[in-house]
Amino acid sequence: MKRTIIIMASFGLVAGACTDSIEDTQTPIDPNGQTGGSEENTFNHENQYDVWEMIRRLTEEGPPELTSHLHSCSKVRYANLGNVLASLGVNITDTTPVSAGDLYQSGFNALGGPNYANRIRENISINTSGASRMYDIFAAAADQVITAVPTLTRCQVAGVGAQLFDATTNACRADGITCITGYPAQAAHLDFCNLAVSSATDVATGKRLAVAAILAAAYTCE
Amino acid sequence: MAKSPLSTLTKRAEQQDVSRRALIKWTVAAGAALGVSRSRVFEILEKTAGTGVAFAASAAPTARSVHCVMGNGGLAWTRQLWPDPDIGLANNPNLAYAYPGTAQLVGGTVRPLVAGAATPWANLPAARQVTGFVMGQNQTHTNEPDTVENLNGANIFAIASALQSVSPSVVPIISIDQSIGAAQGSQQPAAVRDANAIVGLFNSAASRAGGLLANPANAVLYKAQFEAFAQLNRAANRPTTRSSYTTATSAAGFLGTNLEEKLRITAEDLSRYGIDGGTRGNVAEIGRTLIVAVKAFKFGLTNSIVFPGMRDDPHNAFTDGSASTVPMQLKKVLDAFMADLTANVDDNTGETLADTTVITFHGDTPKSATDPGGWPDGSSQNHNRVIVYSAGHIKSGWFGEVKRDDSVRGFDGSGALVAYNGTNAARFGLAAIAYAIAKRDDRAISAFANGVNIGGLVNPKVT
Repeated sequence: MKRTIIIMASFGLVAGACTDSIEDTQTPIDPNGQTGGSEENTFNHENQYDVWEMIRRLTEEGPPELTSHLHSCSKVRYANLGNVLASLGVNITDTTPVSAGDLYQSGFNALGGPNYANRIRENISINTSGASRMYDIFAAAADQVITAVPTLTRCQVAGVGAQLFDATTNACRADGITCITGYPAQAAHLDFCNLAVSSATDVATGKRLAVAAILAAAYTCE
Repeated sequence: MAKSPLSTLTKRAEQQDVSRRALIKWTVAAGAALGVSRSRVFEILEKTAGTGVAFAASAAPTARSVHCVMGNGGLAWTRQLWPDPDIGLANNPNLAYAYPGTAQLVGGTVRPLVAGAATPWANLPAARQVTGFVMGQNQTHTNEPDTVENLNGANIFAIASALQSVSPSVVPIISIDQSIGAAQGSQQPAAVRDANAIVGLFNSAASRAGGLLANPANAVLYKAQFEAFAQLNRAANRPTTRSSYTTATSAAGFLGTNLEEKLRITAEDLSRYGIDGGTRGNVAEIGRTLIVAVKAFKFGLTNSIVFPGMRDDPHNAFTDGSASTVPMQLKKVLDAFMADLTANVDDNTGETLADTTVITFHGDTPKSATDPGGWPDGSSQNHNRVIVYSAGHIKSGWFGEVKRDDSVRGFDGSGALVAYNGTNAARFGLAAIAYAIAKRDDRAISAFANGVNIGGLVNPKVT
């Protein structure tokens, strides 16, 4: 059974895979329903689709016009991460050991920054070393972010800033989460956030932990 | 590569004459899309397509590497560990070999190799025995002997890191007080002062004392929170993003893991390596580095470690008796290292570390092969040497020779003995080392080997 699942998934993946080549609608199709490609030159596309599978995917994932923009999950580029941190009120030039700024500056290699001298482009894939360093930066930056959010002009509405946590109840606030993630907070965001605050070893740690986790999840993909 | 129908595959796969390569590619991709761990995919492959296919799928594309640079005369100790065959077999106490009468030819090696009382790894199969290269120039009293490190202008340690960049690791290459030079595509080394400092490289700031996740309960909570928030991302469930999120989740778990406990050198480790109060400090430091290297390799934390060895310029080794004791300490350490490599597997690929690690010893001078009195720094024809454990990728035994009459000959790409030219021999030897690290991938090393033909030195790629 497991073997069948894997093999079927393999073929399904190939059927749905794309290439960099431009489709030529005039390409002759052989009598067996296979393209002229093979594993030795390019992907051996199957031309017989399961229409129900296609419908299921369209329902779940949306139309191709949308999904083409969500095709992969590349990492946040080094410079962009710096911009994001700065926009959240983090001092990325801070050289204090293990501060967010220090971790950002010393994490150039771990974060897969480009090495132009050796003609190496920036690594765009997510790997453990890069992701863990980025999350480490967010963890170190959590305090600065919590402090800075009320004064971030980008999150102000009619001159009123956002808050990540209610000053009296310590409950998470939607405007604050929306501010740091860049998209509207859902009820689930608030639930998980409150759970973090209440479940951590203390409230202050819980707040930092919640912010670090929210940022990590929000900026995993560029 | 020839296609080989696999009788145990599904009927559909058989009809399409799925080759081993295609099966591996599709299955690993499908596994990633389904969120099945790599180890689970390999397990399934092993059950359905056989051990060979599973092994090919799981194998890391390059070997890890350990490079010991024995500067300031330190390399001379290797004359006691791996003597030149003619010197070892001479049974002459007047030569610079402290164990006359103990050396025996190792059977089955491609080129001559002798093992004496202080020779490490003597019980390895012939094909896994070390390779010795008589190559490079004597560069007495330097810690950065470039003539035994530079291949066509690129440093072999940097070349290693460039080749290994296809195998992700937390810290690509670690350097302890050694330069790794440069090579196209090389990684930046993490420089540390000693073996203990290596442990600290892998700890996240958050997991350290005082950090947000220093308390294990908070670390567990953080990972759970990350997974919960990530699931709220609309794109997180796309087949095309799932593997990235799987990696990200793993990284979130890694963030709260304090690796110090796992990597720390224990008293049991030191005992296994024979390191105690009587062990020379520089031998003990080699041992400590190797202990951490095995642990870091096992967890996939790094691909390469470059570190100094000995650096003690042992002119008096034959008069103060250390030529009879220090090599035995080194043997203990290196034997324990190989035992550890053999006993441990890479957690990511399931490969035994001894099968996928290349070990090299370089240095500034091997000192005289024939004059133990004051053990002079000079070597006949200014020769130098490099010792390599290649996990079977390079033919075993000595290429080039130093005879009991102090005559020296080098080698060419076919392995034939020729008049000694240290520069030429170094090109062949270093290209062979790159070949071993690339696991016999000619194409991968072509940018560095620059057309150097090493067909006579290495074992061919099995297709």
